[in-house]
Amino acid sequence: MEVKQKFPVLCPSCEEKLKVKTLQCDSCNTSVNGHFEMALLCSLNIEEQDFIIHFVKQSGSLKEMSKHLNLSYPSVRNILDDIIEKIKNIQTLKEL
Amino acid sequence: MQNFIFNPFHRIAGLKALGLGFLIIVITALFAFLFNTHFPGLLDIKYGYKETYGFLNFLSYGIVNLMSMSVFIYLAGLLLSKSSVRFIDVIGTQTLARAPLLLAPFLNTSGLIEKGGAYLLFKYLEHGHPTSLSRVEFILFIFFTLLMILLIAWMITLMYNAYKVSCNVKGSKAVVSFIIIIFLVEILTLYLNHLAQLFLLNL
Repeated sequence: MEVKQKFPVLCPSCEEKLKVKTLQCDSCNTSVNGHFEMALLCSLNIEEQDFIIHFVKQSGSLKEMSKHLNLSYPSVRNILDDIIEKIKNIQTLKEL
Repeated sequence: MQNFIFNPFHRIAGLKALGLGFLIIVITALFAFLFNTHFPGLLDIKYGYKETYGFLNFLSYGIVNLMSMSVFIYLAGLLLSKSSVRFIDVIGTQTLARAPLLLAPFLNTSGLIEKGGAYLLFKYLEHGHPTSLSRVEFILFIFFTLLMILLIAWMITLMYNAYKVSCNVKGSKAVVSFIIIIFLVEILTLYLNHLAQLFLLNL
């Protein structure tokens, strides 16, 4: 059975935000080392990223999203509003 | 299952909840009419009024209580929520939240709550007529009264969850504002229902 690995966003030791140090090509094994910032979307958890992907695929329609997720309209709107709030907080932290 | 009993609003809201909830309110009014059960305030269940009430009187309780609560919840949502609150979600979820009252008329089918109330009134406040209760009747009276309190607690939980989902309000802000709303709407509905009943009785 394949285990789905969870992409780590925070350091398990001190809970600071992690940065990307190495990127690797699976085809030729070339590694690129550096000090890369993670994309904003990577700061969200897997469920939130999935929600955003589905939301874009449904052309940003909350009604379609509520059908897709089998949730009520206000529940979907609340999830979206919570993600918006989280993104705003991340952006504010980045600007500081 | 537990989530569906106390918070079905993650799955159902808006027009669908309004339709289903309103159907339940009408059926509740019908049973209330048959078993002489009154809802004179947002959280009140009373049995055995002496006056003769028509079906419309019983239906008006449901409508007055629902509309008062929905308007207050909507205003609170506009004031406290960062989300765009829709009135259809507020009234839909609040309508469905009143579903536990459907069971209230059945608690008094034997007339025990009415009799027990008269017994306590005469025993402790010397009000009304002398009424006697056997030990079994007294135990059943306590049992049905506890069931009635549980129904009201279930309805309050549903109303609170409906408020949280329809207005996206959380934490202490949600708890405090909900307590204030319940308090205000209870007073308002006691007054409005009294006026509505006077009007309907004089039709």
